[in-house]
Amino acid sequence: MVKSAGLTPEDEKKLLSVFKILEELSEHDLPVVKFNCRKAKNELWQALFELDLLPPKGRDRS
Amino acid sequence: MKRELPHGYWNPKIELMPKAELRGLQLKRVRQALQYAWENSPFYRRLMENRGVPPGTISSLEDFCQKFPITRRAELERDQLENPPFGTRHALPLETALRYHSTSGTTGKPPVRAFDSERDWLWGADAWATSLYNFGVRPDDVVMVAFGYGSFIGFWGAHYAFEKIGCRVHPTGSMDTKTRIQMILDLKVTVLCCTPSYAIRMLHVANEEGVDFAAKSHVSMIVVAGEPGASIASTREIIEKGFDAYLGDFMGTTETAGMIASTCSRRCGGLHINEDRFLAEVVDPITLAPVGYGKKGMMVVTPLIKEAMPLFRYATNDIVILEQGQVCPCGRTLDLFMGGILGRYDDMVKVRGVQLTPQMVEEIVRGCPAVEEFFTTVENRDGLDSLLIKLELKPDTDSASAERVIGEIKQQVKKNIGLSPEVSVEPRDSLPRFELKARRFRDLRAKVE
Repeated sequence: MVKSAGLTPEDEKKLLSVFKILEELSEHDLPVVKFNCRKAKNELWQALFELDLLPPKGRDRS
Repeated sequence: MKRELPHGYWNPKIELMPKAELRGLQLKRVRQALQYAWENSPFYRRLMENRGVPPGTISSLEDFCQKFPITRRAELERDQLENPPFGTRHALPLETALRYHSTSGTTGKPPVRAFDSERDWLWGADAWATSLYNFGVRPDDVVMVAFGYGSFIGFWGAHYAFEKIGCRVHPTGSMDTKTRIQMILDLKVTVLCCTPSYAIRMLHVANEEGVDFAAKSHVSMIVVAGEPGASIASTREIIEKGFDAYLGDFMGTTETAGMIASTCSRRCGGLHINEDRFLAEVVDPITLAPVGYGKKGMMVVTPLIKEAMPLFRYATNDIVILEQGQVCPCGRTLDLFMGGILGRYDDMVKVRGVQLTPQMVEEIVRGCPAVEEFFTTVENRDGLDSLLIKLELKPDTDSASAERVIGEIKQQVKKNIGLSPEVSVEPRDSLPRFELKARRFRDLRAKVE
């Protein structure tokens, strides 16, 4: 029997904290950090959106 | 020019790294890549066993460059023919592939097929992003990628890199030239990405349509790759003047799937090598001994991180000159290929004792503003090797001007190359036009028995 993949409250916390960190780093001065984190943040945003976990400030994809 | 190119470093930690430290980083990455290939790539495992160079025998970059064999395109082709479709080089199962691509096939040889993992693909785009940012591309740029988006890798990496930087990207895969021209004007495109041949083609069509790009467009940067045109002075001048924009040369190969070297915003005439991602060597094409700084040789390149299809000491056949990074005022310590790609050893032909590359002819022909298109052949005429240059001239060229152009080209070729060519003017639209990888040179002598 296949075990269903659930999301624990801890997982949710982790996802949100990673998003917050990426959001901060998307404003970094170093282009290699800024642009890669912005892209990663926007990819993670997709997961948060689909899981209905978006933080109020996370709706901006810029 | 429309605006100064902004100066900046994508990753100053690497770009300003002291040379000894950078070499240490390269060695670490070479050794990791060798170990990975030993464990996962049957092609390289076999090669290392047969040549007696398992990873443990490589303890310095010198060791690697002296002991590890060169990989040639013919070996990759043979491996793929014997083990279709991808050969035995891959280090990951095909199921993990994210992207397929192949060489352009313009040389007439069977295309080399490759696939990339997701990490490879991101790595390739990041190498492009580094180069584009360092040339001057910024998030507020509006980009047109004028490329067919087929299986040839071409500007795929550039597309993703522009997106990563945050530019507005307009892919124009199936559009014709006139539509693209109108789009450049309507959408206020600031960066055009294409081959040098296609940039010139656009200028010709724009001229026919009465469009003056230099006056009317917002294009300030032209990103070219796929051909050596950007490093040919006369070709560069036509494009930069025609668009009133800066031309950046970007050098990569399908087999390595990443940006190897590119023009920075200070435009010193050389292309900085992405040395944290690639180990570049310049060797004598016959003896394979390193030629050192300042001398012409063949580029041999090792991508330092390739997950799906590792590659070591790949003989590109490109003719380059290595120079120390400090000659560029940008401050980067990364070495340069001075003058970009100067030609290809497999394009080089001997005509009456003279070593000739297509670029030598292009340099002269593009210096004549009346020439719109050209094609060069080397043929055997009554037992004599002959250089023939066919020209298409701009529509408003009268017969007296045409005669002057013919005379000028003959004289320049004699003076600079040492050959007396036959030069002819052909009817309009009779010579081939190119969007990708122009081939304006053919050696027809082999067909004469």
